[in-house]
Amino acid sequence: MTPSLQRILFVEDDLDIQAVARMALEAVGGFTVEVCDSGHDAVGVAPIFQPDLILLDVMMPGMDGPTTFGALRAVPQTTHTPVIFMTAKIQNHEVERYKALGAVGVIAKPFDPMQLSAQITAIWTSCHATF
Amino acid sequence: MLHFDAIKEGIARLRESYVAHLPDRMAAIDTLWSEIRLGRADASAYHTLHRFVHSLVGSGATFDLHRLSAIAQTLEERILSLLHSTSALDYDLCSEIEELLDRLRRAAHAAVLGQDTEDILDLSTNLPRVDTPVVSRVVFLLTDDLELARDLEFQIDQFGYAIRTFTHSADLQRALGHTPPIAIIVDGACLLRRRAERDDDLEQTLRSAAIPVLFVSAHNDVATHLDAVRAGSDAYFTTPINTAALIDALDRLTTQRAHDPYRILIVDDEELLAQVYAYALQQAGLLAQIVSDPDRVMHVISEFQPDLILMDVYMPSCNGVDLARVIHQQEAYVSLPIVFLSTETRLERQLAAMRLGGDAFLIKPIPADHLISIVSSRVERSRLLRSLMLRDSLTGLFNHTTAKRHIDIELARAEREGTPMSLAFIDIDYFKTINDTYGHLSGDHVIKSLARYCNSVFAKLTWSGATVVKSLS
Repeated sequence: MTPSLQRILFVEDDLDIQAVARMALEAVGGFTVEVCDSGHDAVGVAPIFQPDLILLDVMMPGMDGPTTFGALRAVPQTTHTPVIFMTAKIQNHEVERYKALGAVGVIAKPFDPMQLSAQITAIWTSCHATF
Repeated sequence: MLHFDAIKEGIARLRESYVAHLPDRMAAIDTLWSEIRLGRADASAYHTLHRFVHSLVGSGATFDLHRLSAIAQTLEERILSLLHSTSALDYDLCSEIEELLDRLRRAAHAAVLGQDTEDILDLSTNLPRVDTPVVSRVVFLLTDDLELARDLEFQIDQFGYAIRTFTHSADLQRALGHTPPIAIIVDGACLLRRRAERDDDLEQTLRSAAIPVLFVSAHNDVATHLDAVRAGSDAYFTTPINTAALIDALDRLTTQRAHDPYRILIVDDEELLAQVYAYALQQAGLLAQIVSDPDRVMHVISEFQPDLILMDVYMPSCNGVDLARVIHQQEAYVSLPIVFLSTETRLERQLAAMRLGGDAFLIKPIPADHLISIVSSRVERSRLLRSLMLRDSLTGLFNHTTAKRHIDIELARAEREGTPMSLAFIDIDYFKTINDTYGHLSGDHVIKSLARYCNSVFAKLTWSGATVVKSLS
């Protein structure tokens, strides 16, 4: 039985992409979305927001995606929260690397705003199917 | 139910605001880059620059600006190499980055105009390429005024010139040895600073480079003009720059050297002396023809089409001054420069000859270099004046009357040589729509670009005298 996906924490430094993704996730997918500008913010916000899923940009100034991922794993409330990476460099070895870290999926940038929610839902469903 | 249209509209609005802010982003990137180039930046500037450019890669693609995103991506890679390179500023890498920045700027501009495509005026992508190698029309710009650089880059770019901006004169001097440009534009302020630092390297380079130098300056006084001329300038513009005039000057200065050799007709009954002059002129790369019989002068002029006539004043059968008047009374030759050659040393006699239609008075015997320099400078000026008179000021093509005369000349030549000749009329479809939609300024750009393109493509095909007839309906 797949739990329902409702709350998504989106971590992305680019304000324009934030805006598009927020619209795509809220309006198209009907999710509740919280956006953080940086990995540092995300680590602070995650325990309060308690997301079902975290969407993490790979390349960010300061704490990058993988570093943020590690930090979130150290937070008790998000130790097991599924994480999807978003990256423009979608090469196989990199996808493998993120999966090896523990990510449930990788979404390529640029994403199609009309399809993003469906992509996320698909990853969500498949990662729970394997449990 | 989901309101897809509303969502799409929302995204379109986000895109609009994103595009509207692109120029600001570019400005921020440019500022950072110039700081880095000027050596005023620390390591954090590199990282910030990288972040800015990286952001364009992602956001550009998100908003379907794929060209912008692709250019930004290449640029990002280069910036990373720069970040990781051990040498301070790798010259080749820097120029590559500058070129990419230039392309990025254009892509951003295209996006603002609503096209994420190559320059609308880049006709080369739509027309079949003629196998003439496209001559690189790179212009170097030396300035640390980035606003000026951006303005110039953007405006000149539309006319087929690519600007490469240098903030350091040392970089420019190095690049000159590498890949010489077709012209150099120098910000007067840079020159003054160099001079204040008692560094005349730049001036010497400019003076000795066989490349046209254009000056731009905020000052319009004679002293500054003189300074510019001393530093080897060929043209001078005050800011704000009149782009059209600058383009014309670039066109003029850069096409001149590709022209046919100067054609000089020597009218002198003393054949031996005439041959000495002709030889001297030919050694200097000019074309010289001799007429020793004044009766044949008109015929030879129409055949040889000289740029200038060297006329002996005292000939047994006729007087050179009278002959000059005869020539100048023909409408077609009113502006043909005539230089008198004589042993006459009395000033009043010289002045009388000049009044009657001479452009200069040279005393025989005259040193060869002196002759060549006087003749060349007059032809240069005369060709310039003639091209301003005969060519359409907008397109730089021949105007109606001149075009007709050229067609006549070409027809006569074709008939005489039995060679085929073709004449093509080019009509721009829906030109009125361009004017109506984008305004006359854009319309002018279109005509000018087409004219430039035609000239560049056809120049080699019709080497015997390219005539492009413009017809707009």
